Amino acid sequence: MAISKELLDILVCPLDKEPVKLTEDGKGLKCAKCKRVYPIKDDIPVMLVDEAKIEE
Amino acid sequence: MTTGSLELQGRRLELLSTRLTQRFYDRTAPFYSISSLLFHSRAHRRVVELAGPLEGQTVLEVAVGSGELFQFLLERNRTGLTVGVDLSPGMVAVVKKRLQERAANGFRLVTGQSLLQAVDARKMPFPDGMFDALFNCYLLELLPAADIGRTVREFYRVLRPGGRLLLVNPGDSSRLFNFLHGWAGYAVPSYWGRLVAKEVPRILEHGGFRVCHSEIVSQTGYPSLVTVAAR
Repeated sequence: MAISKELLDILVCPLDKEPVKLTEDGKGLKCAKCKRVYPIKDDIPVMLVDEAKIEE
Repeated sequence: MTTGSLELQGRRLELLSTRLTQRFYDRTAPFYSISSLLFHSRAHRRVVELAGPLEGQTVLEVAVGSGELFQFLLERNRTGLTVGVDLSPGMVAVVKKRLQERAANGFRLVTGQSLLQAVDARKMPFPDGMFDALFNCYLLELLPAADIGRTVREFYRVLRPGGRLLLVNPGDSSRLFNFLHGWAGYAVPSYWGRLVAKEVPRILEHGGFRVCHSEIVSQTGYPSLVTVAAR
């Protein structure tokens, strides 16, 4: 898991533009507002709405 | 190209879903750099020249493809941040792997700090006004008409006031080129798309940009329209 701090600092949810946070397991980036989790595949954040899953 | 076949080509492009385009580029990612070398590399170099100094800036490239321009941008921005995005996670993985291999081999061309991710250009995961410069090559011609406006508005949103948009698209050329491009676009819409060159100034001005410069750069008989616009 190697998502840099610089990347976390700039990424927001593509839908509501709220900051995203790394999930506990480190496998995704979660938006606090819409609860979408964007997967991180091979250290590449996949910030596509179609690929995100809503996790309460 | 007759009006009828142009309409047909446009219709095929409208039917082309984002997912299909993503799949096409995921599959062709390992070979895509061949077409960049043949048709695009001269326009890539020119658009970097036209951009002026990039050192220390926050720079975004939308649709990095196989990463040839992205590499130029990293060379020119050793102290700033260069962010690259592409709809295709496969394409992004290829670029990332190449950069890592080059860095591991002590290749001096990998310099600045790069961040890569899979992103839809219509809905980008960046705050408003974040970037000083935005590069986008050979994308608008692949989009359905409604998405072109949405994408240009998104470019405007993520650029800071006074930021520059550096755009490259297939140029309008001889009737023969336009005819061949039209049929190629009908056969493989994910790759060739349609000619948008004549519409580019209107599209940009409609999106709030001011066009500062445009020129045609030809390579292997393939004309590219290079446009510089200010937000």
